[in-house]
Amino acid sequence: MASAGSGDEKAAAAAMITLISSDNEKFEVTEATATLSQTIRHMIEDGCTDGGVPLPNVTSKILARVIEYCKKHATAAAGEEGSSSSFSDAAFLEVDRAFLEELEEFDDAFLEVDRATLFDLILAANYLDIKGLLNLTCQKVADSVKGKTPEQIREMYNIVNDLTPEEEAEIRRETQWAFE
Amino acid sequence: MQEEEEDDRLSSLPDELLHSILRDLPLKDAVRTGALSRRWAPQWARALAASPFLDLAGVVVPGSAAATIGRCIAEDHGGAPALDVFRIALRVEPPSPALRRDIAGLVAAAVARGAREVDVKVDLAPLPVVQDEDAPLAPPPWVVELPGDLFQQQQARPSSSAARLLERLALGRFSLKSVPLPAAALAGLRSLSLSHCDDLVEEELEGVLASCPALESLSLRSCPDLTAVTVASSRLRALQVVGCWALEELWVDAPALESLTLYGHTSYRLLGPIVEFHVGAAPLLRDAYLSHLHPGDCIDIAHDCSYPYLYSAVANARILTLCSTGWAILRWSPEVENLHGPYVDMPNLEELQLLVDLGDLEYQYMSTFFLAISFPVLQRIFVRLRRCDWDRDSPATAARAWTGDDESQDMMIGGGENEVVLDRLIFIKIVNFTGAWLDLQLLSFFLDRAPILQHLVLVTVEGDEHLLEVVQDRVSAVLHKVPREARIAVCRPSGDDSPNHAHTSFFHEHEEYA
Repeated sequence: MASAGSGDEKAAAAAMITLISSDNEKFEVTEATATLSQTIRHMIEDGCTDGGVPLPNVTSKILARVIEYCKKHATAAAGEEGSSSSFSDAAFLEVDRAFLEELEEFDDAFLEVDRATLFDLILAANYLDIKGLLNLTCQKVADSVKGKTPEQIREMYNIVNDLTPEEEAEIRRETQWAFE
Repeated sequence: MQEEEEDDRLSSLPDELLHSILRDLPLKDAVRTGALSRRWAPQWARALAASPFLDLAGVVVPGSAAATIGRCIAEDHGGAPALDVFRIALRVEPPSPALRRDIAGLVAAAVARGAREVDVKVDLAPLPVVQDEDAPLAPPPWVVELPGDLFQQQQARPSSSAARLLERLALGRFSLKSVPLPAAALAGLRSLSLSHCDDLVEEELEGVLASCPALESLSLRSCPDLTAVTVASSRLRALQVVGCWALEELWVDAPALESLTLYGHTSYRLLGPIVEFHVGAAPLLRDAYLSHLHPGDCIDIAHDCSYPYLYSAVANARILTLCSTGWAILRWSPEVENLHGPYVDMPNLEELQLLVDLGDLEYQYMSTFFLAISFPVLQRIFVRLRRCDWDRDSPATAARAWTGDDESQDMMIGGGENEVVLDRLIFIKIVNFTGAWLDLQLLSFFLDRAPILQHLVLVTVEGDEHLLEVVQDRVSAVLHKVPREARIAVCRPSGDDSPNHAHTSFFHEHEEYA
């Protein structure tokens, strides 16, 4: 039973899926990579991926980045399943740690994008339902806001303050502890 | 800032994504976004309210925020889901009656929203250091009185079909004085944790426990007025009684118990009442932690006669932490003193951690300990020495040079005819090892009894640059006792990547209990 199961998984991992961006570019990816997206996973489960998966909300530029992320993290997921850290085997722990560090470095480098791309990635991750990527990109925005005053955040993101001075004073008074 | 980027793409994100971002922010930062614009003003509160999992326990939130957060949980934001989990750690500075009301309201709001887990801990800001010697040492008790009607009925959200019962409740610095007991809404409680409940007394605890027949986990921490704890439950799987210094009696009848943690006195105070331990058989026990190390605590041998029975109660554990106070008491126990065989057999114990404090005396009693308790399958020993200046030797022992196998070691730790062999022991780790004479005694003691040792780890104290070299030099006199094929590591704490014991809380080193 167990060996049959892993055989199926291997077959599934080798299966290829075609993703089609909004500007009609085609991307061939393994099923393991594609199914990091819950949206695509459901399509595969429903058997409606023949002839490619059209993704009208994602441009080829962004889809290429998303696929880059999924490839890396799909390998990571496979690696996690394969390894087992035992009490006495420090070597395994060492490998795990190195791999996690590498993944972290990848994520950091991956986020070195201009702001427009970051927002495109957030929207794509949301649409494709890729939890890890969504968390990563939202956290990047959150980090950029952390410790900033409202004035600084407005300037950074071109937010227009449409509150009247009275309204803003009232908000600040109510939540004064957050501004101290 | 890039010139071409003029759109406000952040504000254009759909609400749910704004909420994701807001939930990634520390609370203060999230709240400040309320002053950005009209679009942003209501979002942080909605992000909180729309989250079924509200965990603000990672960062300490100022007490003055309690009112705002309470309001935002209590308000109905149009079909917000029932609150599932609510955790918050509040720091109160300065304490005021209004804050008491706000914090009580926060708990009430979470319970009313149908939360299955409520974890509200209040922390007091440290008092300014007063030089005046007449000033009282302890701060006056400051607890939040829970509203009387809080747990009176099962709370059900109109939107949810089934009544939701509170399952996990953790309260720090609350008073149950006004809560009528038993309380109906606690009937589904599986986990209860009470800490710093300064006026909690035995009768209230009994009333609470009578309200929750399904309880599986009970934790009582730093409740200074609690003199007796009585637990009788066939469901209870985990019990923790930590830092309740007034405790005189502990009655436990919990045959399903899997985990037991006790940290406190064995004697209430020197010449004071004895602490009576009555812990019934726990055949399913997996791990136990019994520690009584406390600065300035004295062992009152005459009074501690019920203590050794605790060892029988935890005899089935696979993982165990014990302290040197405990084994010193064992040494003087009438049951053990005249015994020729083991007093307790621990047939399942694989991982033993020993917390060692005080001085020469405790080292002396170690061989008695290993004679009195048998560990037929013990594989790993972790010893945590007291953290101190790096040379722990007392004047009496400091002058004595370690000469390897000199006879004085038998005088200190003992030895003799009924010597124990730990013939499954493969791993020894000693933390805060300084290479002092007593440390070497201890190491030598274990090495003499570990014929198949595979891995020895000695972790020094952080700080002193030369200590590592000193330790390496000192320890060389003992290392010939290590089996040839075994690995030996002498390292600083920062260089230690060897496994640790399953128990990683060291209450006696925590300032809360100092």
